[in-house]
Amino acid sequence: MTHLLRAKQSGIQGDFSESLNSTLFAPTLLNHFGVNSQLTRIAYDPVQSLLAVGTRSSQFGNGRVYVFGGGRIQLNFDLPRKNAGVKWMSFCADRLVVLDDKGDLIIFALVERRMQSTYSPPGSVLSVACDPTLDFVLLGLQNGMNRNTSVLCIKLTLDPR
Amino acid sequence: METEKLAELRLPNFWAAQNTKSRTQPVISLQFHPRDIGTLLVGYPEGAAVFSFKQNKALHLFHYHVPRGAPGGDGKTGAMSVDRNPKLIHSTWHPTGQFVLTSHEDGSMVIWDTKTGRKILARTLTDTNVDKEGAGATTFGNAGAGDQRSPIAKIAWCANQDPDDTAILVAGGTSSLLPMKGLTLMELGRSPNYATSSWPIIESHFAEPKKQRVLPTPPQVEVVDFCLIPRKSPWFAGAHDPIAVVAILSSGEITTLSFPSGYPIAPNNQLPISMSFLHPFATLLSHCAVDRTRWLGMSENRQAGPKLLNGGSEPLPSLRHHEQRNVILSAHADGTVRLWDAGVDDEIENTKVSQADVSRAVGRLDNVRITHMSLASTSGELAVGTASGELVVFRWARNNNPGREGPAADVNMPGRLTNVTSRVDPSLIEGFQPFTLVNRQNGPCTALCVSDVGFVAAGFEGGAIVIIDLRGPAIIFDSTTQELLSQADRRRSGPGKSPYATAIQFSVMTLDGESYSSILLHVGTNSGHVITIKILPAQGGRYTVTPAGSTTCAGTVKLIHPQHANSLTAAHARPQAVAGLRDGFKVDGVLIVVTENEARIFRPTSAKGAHKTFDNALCHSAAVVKYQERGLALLGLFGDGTAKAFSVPGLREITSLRIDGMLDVKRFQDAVVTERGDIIGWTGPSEIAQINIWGLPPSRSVFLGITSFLQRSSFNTLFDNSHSFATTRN
Repeated sequence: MTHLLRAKQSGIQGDFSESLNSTLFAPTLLNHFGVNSQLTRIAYDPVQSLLAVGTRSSQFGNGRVYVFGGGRIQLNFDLPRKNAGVKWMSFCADRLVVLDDKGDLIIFALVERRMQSTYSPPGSVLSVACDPTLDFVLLGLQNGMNRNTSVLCIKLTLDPR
Repeated sequence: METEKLAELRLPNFWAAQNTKSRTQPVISLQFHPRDIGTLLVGYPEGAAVFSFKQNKALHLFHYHVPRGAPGGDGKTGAMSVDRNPKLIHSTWHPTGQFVLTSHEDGSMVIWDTKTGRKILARTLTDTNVDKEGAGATTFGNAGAGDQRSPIAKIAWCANQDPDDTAILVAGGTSSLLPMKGLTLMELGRSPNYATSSWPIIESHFAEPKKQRVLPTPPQVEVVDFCLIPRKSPWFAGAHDPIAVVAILSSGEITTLSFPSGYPIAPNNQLPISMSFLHPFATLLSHCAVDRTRWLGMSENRQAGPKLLNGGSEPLPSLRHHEQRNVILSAHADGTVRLWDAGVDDEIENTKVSQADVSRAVGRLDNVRITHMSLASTSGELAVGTASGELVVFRWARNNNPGREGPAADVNMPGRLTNVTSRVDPSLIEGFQPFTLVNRQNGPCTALCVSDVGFVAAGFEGGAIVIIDLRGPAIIFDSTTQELLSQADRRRSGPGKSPYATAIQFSVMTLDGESYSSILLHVGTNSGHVITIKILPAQGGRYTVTPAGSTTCAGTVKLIHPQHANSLTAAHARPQAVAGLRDGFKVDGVLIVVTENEARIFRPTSAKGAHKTFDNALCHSAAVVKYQERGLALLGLFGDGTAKAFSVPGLREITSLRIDGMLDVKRFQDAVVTERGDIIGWTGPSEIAQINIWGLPPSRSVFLGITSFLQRSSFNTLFDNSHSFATTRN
C-alpha cells in the first residue's frame, strides 16, 4: 500500500503507469554498432566497393566478419568454430575467403549472404593465394603432410560464369 | 553445405630439393605473378622460389646471405663477424613481375631480378647495400644500444595507374626510437626499361627512390597491418592505383590516410559507423531525441575525397519514419564528437554523420578528453565539456570561408567567454561550428545541459555552476554549490570537498507557493542535493538568475526529469512552453529524481514528496520511459545486472529484468536510457547495443541490408576490358 501513499505525497494526482504491466517489458536487441572484439584484418574490394573487417576471439566475443557497403549496409558472419579469430581474409570475386586462426578455411557467399563451406586442411596454413579469376585457392602449409607437400590446391565450387 | 574439394595439385618443397639438409620449410607467403597466372612466388623462411606451373619446376631460388663484415639489416656490430642468413618474412612481386622483393627479419629488403635470378640490391629503409662488406652507410648501425629496428609488419608493392610506375609501402622497419612509427612510402617512380638499362641504373632505381617519406600515424603505436583502397581494379595484389590506406594500429584502433599524400581521412561518411568506433576509440556515449525536421537539416557538408564505399544495395525503404530521431553522440579519443541517427526500426532519411571538432575549438590538439555532451533537440545547439575544464558550445551553421584557415582566435581567457568561431575546420562547409568557449578552471566538467531555449548550464568538479545565455553570448550566472546550498545542507554533506553537479536539467514549471511559472534550472549533486534556480526575464532582454531553494535526496543524483503533474508530457524548457509564459501560461509540474540509492517525486523546490529506496543494488542510469503515449514508467539500470521499471508516481516495482547478457554491467554508468524505451549501452570496449524495452522487432535496415550484393555486370566489364594485363592473364 506504500505506493498509494507515495502517489498522494508526490503531487501527481493520476496514475501514469496504470496501463503498464510487467508483460509489456520485453528487452529486445535492435542493433549493434561498433565491432565486438579486436580487429585483425581489413579487406577491400574495389569492384563491388565493399569493405570487410575481421576480429579475433576474446572475452568480449567470438571472431566475426563484418562486410560493409555504402551508407548503413552491413552484413555479419560469425566464424563457425568457437574461439576462432580471423587470421587472413580476402575478397575473391563474389566470395569472401577467410582463414581462421584455428587453421580452417571458410568461404562466405556474399550474394547468398551465407557461409558456403569450410575446409580443414591437413596441417596449419600460413599463407593463402587466391584470385578473382580463378576457381581455386592455394594454401601454403606449415610443414605439409610430408616433406614433399608444401602448397595445397583447393578447388572451389564456383557458379559458372 | 558443399565441401571444397582438394585438387590433385600439390607442389613440392623447392628448398628441400636444393638443400637436403633443410628441414620441412613452412610456406609463409604465396603470391601469383601479377601478369601471368601460371607463375607463383613462394616464400619460405630460407628464401623465396619462383615456380612455373607450365614448366612444373622452380625457375629461381632467391636466398639472402649476409657475409661476414657486412652490416646486415639490423647493423648489429656484434653479429658482423659471422655469416648470416636472415630469415625471410614476406615476399612480393613488382607490379610487372620483373622484380621480386623479399623482406627479412633483420629489417632488410632485397630486390631480385626474375629474369636472371640475380640479387639487385639489399637495403633497409635507411641504408643501402647492407649485404656488402664494409659498404653502405651504416649510420644506423652505429647508433647506441637499445636502438633497434621494429620488424617489418607488412610490405605492399603499389602500382600507379600505369603498373610501371611503382611505390613500396612498408609498415614497420623503422627505428624503435622514433616516436612516429608510421608507414614508410618509397616512391620509386617509373621502372627503368629492363632491356636497355645497365645494372647500375636498375640498382640506383631501387637504391635512390624519387621520394621517401613517412605517412604519419598516431605516435607511440605501430602499424600492425594495412589495407590499400584501390580506385578500380582488384589486380596487382590489391595495390593498383590506391586512393587511400586503412591501417590497423597496435592499440587496436584504425586510421585512414590518403594515398600517396598521407593526409588523415576522417571516417565520417567514408567508413561505416561501426568502424568509426575504432577511428579512434569511442570513449563516451550520449543520446538526444532530435525532431525529424531539425535532423533532416543537419546534413553535414565537408570537403572530402571520393567515396570509398558505395557497394551493396539498400533494402526496400520502410514507409514509416518516426518524428523523433534517435541521434547518438559519440565522443572519441582524438577530441571529436560524432552525431548520427541510430534509427527506430524505420527509414533513416539522413544517414550522414556530423562531426564537432572539439580539440580544434579548444585550440589544443592533444589531451582533449570529453567528459560530457549535450545536444538541444530543436535548436541544434551542442555543448561539450572536457576533463580540462572547458565548456564549448557549437552551433549548426554555414562556414563563410570554407577552405581557408580563419584568423587567429583570441586566447582562452579563464572564467570568461571566448569567441571561437574562427577555429572552425577549414574543410567544413556546413555543420557544427564552434561558437563560444569558457574555461572555468574548476576541474573537469561533471554535468552539462543545453536547453532548447538558448541557455547552457554546466557544473564542474570544484563545485562551480555556470549558466550561459547564448543570445549574448554572456555568462549570466557563475556560482558554486557551496554558495547555493544553505548552511544546514552544507554541514550535512560533510566537511572536506564541496559537492559538485552530477545532473542538470532545465524545465518550465510553477514553484511551490508561486502563482506563475518560470524557466527553472535544476542541479543535482553527488551529495544528493537538488538545487533549483529561477531564470527570469528582466529589462532589455536580459535574464536574472535567482536561487530558489533545494531538496535533499540520498546518494549521487543520476537523473532529474521534469514532469507535468496532469499529463504524460515532460515539462522540459521547450520554446512553446517558454513562449506561453508571457501569456501567463502555467505549468503544474513535479520533478522525478533518481539517485544511486533512491527515486523521489516532489514539487520543487523543497517539498519532501514521495520516495522509494533501492534496497539491493545501486542505480547507474535511469530515465522516464513512455509506452506509446499510454503510460509512463521509470526505468533504471542497476548494478546487479537488471533493468527495473517503477510506476509513476507510485514508485511500485513493475518488473525487474536481467539484461546482463546483453550489455556489459561494468559499463552501466555509461549506458543511456531514452524516453522511447531504448537502452543504449556498451557490450565491449568498442561496441554498443541498442535494446528496446518494449520488444520492438529488429531494425530491418541492418539485417536485410544486402539484397543484391554483387554488381555482377561490373565484374564482367572488368574481364572484357582489353587492359594489357587482363589479356595476358589468360
